[in-house]
Amino acid sequence: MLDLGILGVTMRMATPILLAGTGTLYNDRAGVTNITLEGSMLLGGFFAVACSFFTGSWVLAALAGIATGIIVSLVFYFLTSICGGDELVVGFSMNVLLDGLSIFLLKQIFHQSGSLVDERIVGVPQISSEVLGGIPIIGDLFNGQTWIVYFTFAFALLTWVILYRTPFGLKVLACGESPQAAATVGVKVLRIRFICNLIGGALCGLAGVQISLGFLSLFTQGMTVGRGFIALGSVVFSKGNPLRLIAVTMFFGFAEAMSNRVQLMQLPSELVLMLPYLAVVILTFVRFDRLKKIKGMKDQEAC
Amino acid sequence: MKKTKKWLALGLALILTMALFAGCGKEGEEQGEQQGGQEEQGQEEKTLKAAMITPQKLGDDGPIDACYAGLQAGAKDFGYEIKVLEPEAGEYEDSIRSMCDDGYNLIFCIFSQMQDAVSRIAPEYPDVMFVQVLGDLEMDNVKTINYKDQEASFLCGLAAATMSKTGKVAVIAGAPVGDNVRNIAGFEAGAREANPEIEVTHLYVGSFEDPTKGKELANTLLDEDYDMILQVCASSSMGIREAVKERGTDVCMIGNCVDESTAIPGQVPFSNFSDHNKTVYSTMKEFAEGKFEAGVVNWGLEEGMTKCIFAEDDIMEVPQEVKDLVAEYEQKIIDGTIVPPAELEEE
Repeated sequence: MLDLGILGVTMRMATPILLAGTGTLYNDRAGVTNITLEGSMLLGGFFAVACSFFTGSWVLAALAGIATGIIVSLVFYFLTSICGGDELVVGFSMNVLLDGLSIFLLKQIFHQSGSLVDERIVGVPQISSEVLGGIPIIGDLFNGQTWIVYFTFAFALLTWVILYRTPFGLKVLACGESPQAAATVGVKVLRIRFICNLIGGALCGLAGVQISLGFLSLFTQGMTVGRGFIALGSVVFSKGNPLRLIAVTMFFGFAEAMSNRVQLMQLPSELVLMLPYLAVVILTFVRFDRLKKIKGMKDQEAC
Repeated sequence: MKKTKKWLALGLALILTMALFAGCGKEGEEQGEQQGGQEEQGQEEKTLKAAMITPQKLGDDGPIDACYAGLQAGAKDFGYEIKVLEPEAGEYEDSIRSMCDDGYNLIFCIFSQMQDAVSRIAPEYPDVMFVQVLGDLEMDNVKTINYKDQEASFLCGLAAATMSKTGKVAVIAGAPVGDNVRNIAGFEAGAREANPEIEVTHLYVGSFEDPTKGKELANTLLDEDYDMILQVCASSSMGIREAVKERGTDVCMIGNCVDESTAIPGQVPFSNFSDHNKTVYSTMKEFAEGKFEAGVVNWGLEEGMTKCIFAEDDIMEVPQEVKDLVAEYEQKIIDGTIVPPAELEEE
């Protein structure tokens, strides 16, 4: 029952969370509190499905999803940085608005209420090769996934490099930690934040594409079911470190994959459904910085 | 200068306060008028206004759409004015109250989530009739409609176990709540009745609106060689449909609430049917004819409100013996010689 197939499910479950999380990480590190992930993902997913429906091309669909995410982030930027709205209030109301907007558009464009399922919707193809499948563990992890999964993990790793090893990344960190100081040495804080906002939006849009066209090939109302907020939580847990973010989201994906499997073992369902959330609670206790502290204390005792 | 400003401010504040009072007074009067108007109308001729309040959204291609179809048909045939609300959790009471205040006199509250809100509001509006679909409310102006889901799902379990090639059948349900549990209990009992050796299990998605998880769960089951899956999870079942479709014709899904055979042609041999459409329609009819009665009702095979219906296209060519078996047990259940369990055995 606990075969390695669970690894593939873990990856699938972790991908949208990691993708949206990576995007938000840029915002987070640049000092922008953007909580529109859920809305961006949902609307990105919707437009991807709509585009796929009309053009029959998943490439265009993915681009449509990304573009939607960018537009949402532009609106967010306009309302907060230019009009001076509170980030949390704007973010929260945009989430509610975008949820409603997806339903409204569904009704206006497709005359459907609640869900869109059609033969014409083309999903993002899964890449499987025998060579890849032959490699133990790696094969289980990566075989039969969509390219978005590969991209997500590659980009999360790349983000680590960008943030800590490039001038741009260091500017981002400076903007988040001490915007005044950054401005004093000539970093254009608003521009950096603007760029981060766009990256965040684009990645959230793509996360929506993975949910609506990567897992499935349909759109239903509210199909992100809080994954955006889980991503937001993961960013907080990981303290803005991309490598920790990968670990946190993988852990969450694993917990969700486990909860699917464990149900088959006839354990009490209440307990099983709790599993992913229990994982989060455990995570709060086992935070990385505390681990270090505990380790430090033990070392001292040893001395 | 300062003094004038102060007086000005005070004056403005006074005016505003008065405006506030004036506003209140007017509103109150209007409300009074409205209520008066309603009473007059009620005495002369009862206007028929039916509202349907559903926490699960339209477009599930299942029970909610079936209810809505019933509502529309009822409106057409009996001249109702209708309205549908889709409130989020936490807005149930407000939405019911707004419908009551708006003069709607027959209010359908769909599924057990609404029950708490109905129990609180029903006593406040004794003239409004409520219909609680699924629940256990016993109140003077509430009609609670339950289905004996276990009867139809028993038949589905029976047929599924007979048709399964791998000897493994399963249910994917939304959450461990009343009707879901009845469906699971009936299905498992039915499957064991047909084949005591059968492996039967059930999984919960934990949400009625998460097709992603629905698909993962279905794939988990299909990987374990389960070849008949009954879905009881509303919109989450969209994911199950996809998983079953991708796996090919060796596996099939059993529809729920409505005849789902057109959703994946050739892979839905039969559906666990409960007639939400007829429920809403017949209640509207009763109400229009003044025969509405409050109370708890349980509808099952005998009333024809739940059924195991076979796909009309019959692409899967369900063997005649299976159909005969289902018909035989249907009679047995109606006669009362077999009573399918409504609750799960303790695990």
